[in-house]
Amino acid sequence: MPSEIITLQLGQCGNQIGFEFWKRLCLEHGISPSGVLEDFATEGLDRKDVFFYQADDDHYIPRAVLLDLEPRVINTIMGSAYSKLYNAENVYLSKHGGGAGNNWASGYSQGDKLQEEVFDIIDREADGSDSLEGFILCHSIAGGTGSGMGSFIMERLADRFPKKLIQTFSVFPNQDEISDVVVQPYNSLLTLRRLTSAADSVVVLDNTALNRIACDRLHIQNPSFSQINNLVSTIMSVSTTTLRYPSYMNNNLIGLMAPLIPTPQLHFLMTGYTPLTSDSDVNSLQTVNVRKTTVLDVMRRLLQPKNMMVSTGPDKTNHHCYISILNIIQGEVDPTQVHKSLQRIRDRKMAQFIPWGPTSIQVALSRSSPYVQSNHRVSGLMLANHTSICSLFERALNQYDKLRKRGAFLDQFKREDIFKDDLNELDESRETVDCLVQEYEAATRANYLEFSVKRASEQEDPRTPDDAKSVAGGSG
Amino acid sequence: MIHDLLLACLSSSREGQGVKQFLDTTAVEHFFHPCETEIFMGILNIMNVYHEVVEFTQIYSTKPVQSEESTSNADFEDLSHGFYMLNFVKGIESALEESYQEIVRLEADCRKTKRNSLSYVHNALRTKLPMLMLVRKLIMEVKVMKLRGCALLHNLHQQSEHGDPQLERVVQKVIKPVKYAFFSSLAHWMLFGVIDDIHTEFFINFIPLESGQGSTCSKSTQSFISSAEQTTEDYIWQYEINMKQLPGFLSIISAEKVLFVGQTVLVFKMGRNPKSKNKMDQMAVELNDMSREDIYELWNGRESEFFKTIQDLSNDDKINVFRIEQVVNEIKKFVSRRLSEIAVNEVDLERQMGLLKDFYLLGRGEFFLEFFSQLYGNFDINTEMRSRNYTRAFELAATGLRITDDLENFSLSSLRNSEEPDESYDFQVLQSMHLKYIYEWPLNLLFSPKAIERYNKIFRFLLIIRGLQYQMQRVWATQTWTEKAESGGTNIRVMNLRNHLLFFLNNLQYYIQVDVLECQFEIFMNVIRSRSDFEEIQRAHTIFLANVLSQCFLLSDTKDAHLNITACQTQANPIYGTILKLFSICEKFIHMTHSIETEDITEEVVRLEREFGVQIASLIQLLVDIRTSSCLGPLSQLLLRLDFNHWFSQHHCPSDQRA
Repeated sequence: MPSEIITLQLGQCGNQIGFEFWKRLCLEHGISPSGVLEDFATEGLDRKDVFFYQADDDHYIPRAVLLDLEPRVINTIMGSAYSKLYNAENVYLSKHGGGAGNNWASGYSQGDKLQEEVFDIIDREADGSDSLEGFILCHSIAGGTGSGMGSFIMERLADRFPKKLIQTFSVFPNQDEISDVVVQPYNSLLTLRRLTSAADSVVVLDNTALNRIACDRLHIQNPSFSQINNLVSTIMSVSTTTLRYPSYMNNNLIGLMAPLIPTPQLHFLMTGYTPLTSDSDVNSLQTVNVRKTTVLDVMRRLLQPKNMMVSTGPDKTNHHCYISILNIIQGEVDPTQVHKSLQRIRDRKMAQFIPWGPTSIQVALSRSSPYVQSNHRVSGLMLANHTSICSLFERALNQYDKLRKRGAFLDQFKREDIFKDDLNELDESRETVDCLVQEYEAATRANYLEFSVKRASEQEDPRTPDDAKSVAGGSG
Repeated sequence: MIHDLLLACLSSSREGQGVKQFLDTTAVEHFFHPCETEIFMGILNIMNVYHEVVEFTQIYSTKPVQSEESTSNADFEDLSHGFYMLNFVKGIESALEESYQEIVRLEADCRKTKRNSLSYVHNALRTKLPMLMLVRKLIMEVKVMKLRGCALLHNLHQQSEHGDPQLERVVQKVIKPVKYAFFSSLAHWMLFGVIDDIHTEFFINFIPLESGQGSTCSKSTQSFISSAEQTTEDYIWQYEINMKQLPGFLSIISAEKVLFVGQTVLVFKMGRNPKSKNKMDQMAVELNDMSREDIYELWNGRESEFFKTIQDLSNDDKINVFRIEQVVNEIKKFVSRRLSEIAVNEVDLERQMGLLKDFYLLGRGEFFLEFFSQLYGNFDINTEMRSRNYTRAFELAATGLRITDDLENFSLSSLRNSEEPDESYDFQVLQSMHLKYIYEWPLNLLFSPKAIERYNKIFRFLLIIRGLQYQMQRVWATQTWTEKAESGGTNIRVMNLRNHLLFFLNNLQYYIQVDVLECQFEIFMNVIRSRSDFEEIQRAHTIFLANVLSQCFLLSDTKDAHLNITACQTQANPIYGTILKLFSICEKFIHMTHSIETEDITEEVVRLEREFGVQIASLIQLLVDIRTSSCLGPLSQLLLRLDFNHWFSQHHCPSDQRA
């Protein structure tokens, strides 16, 4: 069916959030854990075909590929009620089961070794769809499998499927707690390079912010993984509602991403979701009094930094700004309110926008699943391209620099092929991420286009210097 | 002598010659004393008037019966036709009855050789003179103003308020049969949807399509309607209010209600499955013959009751305007209640409207996405626009999304021949698209051919936006991938212009879909949900369409201007013109990016950039101007969306220094 999307989940974190995501999709589409359509859900307008396909026996099977180098999480999934949901052939566990040892390089080289088997699965899955639109990759950037193997697979996907989109849901590590993964800064930086170069759009899920939101907004003292993953699955499912339900626009990944990503480099997106309830268990049958949230409430709250799922450092110079915003609003929406809210937001200058081009807050009104009870009249997800996301990369750079200066923990990297000869890979990654930060900083300024021209001309210098110059002159 | 005179009068009423002959002879001078001549002449005058009236009745009471069969003789005089005229004459005759009796009495007196003076006769006859004069006046008016049909009734009605109670009674006598005719037509139309009106005397008449074509809204529609097969669905739309025959005592609103009731009845007569798609004449016969079951369903056993109320109206002495309106309202209310009950409960009007929104108003974005991807093929292939098969792409998209069930009532066709050379832009091909919708019975009253054409107008506009957006998004994807494969592979300037164009398209679409369509549709659906009667739904539907058209700047046609309820622009819409120019820039840009040669496109980009700057500036200027001149909400909504971060107003509007 049209515009299909294949989901790849890699590593411990990727599989966990992927699992939550599929659970959520099943619930929303009325598909039982075993893949059979529930009786109450036979007459839906929803587009199950985008994420599921139908087997001959009318079972709905997720277009999902589960990959891991160690068996723990996948075994949990396969031991759950949902074990029959997945296509068993799409589950790949490395035979040795030893994992990647939280080492990016190990994951990367194992990806290389296993690529044939992995791409057999992916190719088969791609062949099975009529007009595949792209891939969604779930992983974390800090560990070994999700980051390392994920990086490798991303690169290969971009090569093999040059005309398919690659979107990732990338979990960034929690900065507030001491990680047990000491090489996390290395892993993050190396993965960031691939996210910059190989992915078309990255939805950043910052564990720091997710934990903070769980504590502050949901009042959970020590949020568990499952509670955090619940937040993540909400974001993932809502951000795909316009793909899964009939709506007048943003019906495919391109339609979703094109308005958000003005230039290819600026493709890291933040998310925000409101309202969040402490009782985030979607299964809860107790019908709490439905709160009278309005569209304006939702849109205003979405612009508040505390609802952002990305922890950007304090913006001291107050120069960061929105490049683009897409709000997906669900629930009982009075369409006239959308305009009023937009007007209010503009009048009160609640959001700061880039000075180098036209932007606005785009609002997509989306249907929500009839099978999932919501405690709120209106809820909204924001997908935003904001320049302050670069503070996240700066932080990663700082941590990397600290570790690198001491030359710590490099031995385990040198063992792998990619670092056998030298550590250029690390230096190049640092360079790439640094460029990315520069790019975002430049995007806050009015002369961003000239910056891009300059950057392009530097890269292309030997070839067409004259052309680049004339362009630069033309825009003055 | 007097007897002779009276006899002559009586006979004149048969032959019309007696009195004249009588005057020709010298008898008057021979037999009358000169003092009496005056009196005699008075009698003769009265007789003349009487005679004139009688002559009129003779001509028209006999004539129509014969002339109807052989219409070739009918060129006697225009007003000789008609049922109303016949009834008018009948009325006059009954009014004359009294004076006739008087003459007969006088004649009988003569026969009994009672000695009556000439003055006695004169006095006796003179009492009838005012009545005769009034009747003659009525006849003259009819003759001079060539009144006929309901207009005749109206004239009589105006005369019926006479100060002299005697004369008032006379007029009432005259009006009675005419009134009867009127109310029986009314009853037939309202209760059975039948107009037995060969002389087009009723205020609702049937205009066959061939001649009524000029009334369709635009040139493009004409070709469509004439080419479309004339189905029973179109049949009801050929009944219209004939303003010439609309009696003044009935307001236009009431007349529309009457029309509505009759049309509803017709719709019911057509039944649920109009299988026959024959030509008009046969259809008319068929409709009459058709089993009445469906009408019973409509009236629910109350038709005789309503029939009687209408009949009662004609039994009143005068035409009671208030009473008529009351009855019309009552029947209309009943009918439209029934109709909306059926429409909402059985046909699920909400679902039908939902489907209409999904497809005419592009509510199912994913379907049209698939439509365009079928149309444009893969990323690599750029097929020639003209060779594309729209109908097939439409069907393929439906099967692809497995929504063929929903689409069974829709079909897409292109009205234009693909050879026509005047398409300077690809998107104009989409202008000729026509989406046909087969509505469920009994929604015929909502989807008149005009309404469907309005839907199509919006549909085409949205389709163009959607098509351009689709192509622009593909440009985005291609450029993104080029950049991924080779950093710096795409000129930033091209990307920048692409962003601006895409931004414009997206926001125009958001504006139309959310600010206009969603809002207006919500209002309309609330009317349906409130279980209001069908006429209110019909009116709300018309308002919905009119508002959508005007807020989408599509009301360029001055003919449609009267429908324009909120907006006030009447000339060709300048905003629409500007939007079209912007569309053409988008298209040029798309073409430019398709040209694979990496030749220097900088010049072209700069040119398009400048053009875009000029057009968007003028668009924003137009929106600002119109907004400040009137308090139109929708325009400021588009302005807000387009100029959210004041980019366009700051960079393009003040003066085009940059460009």
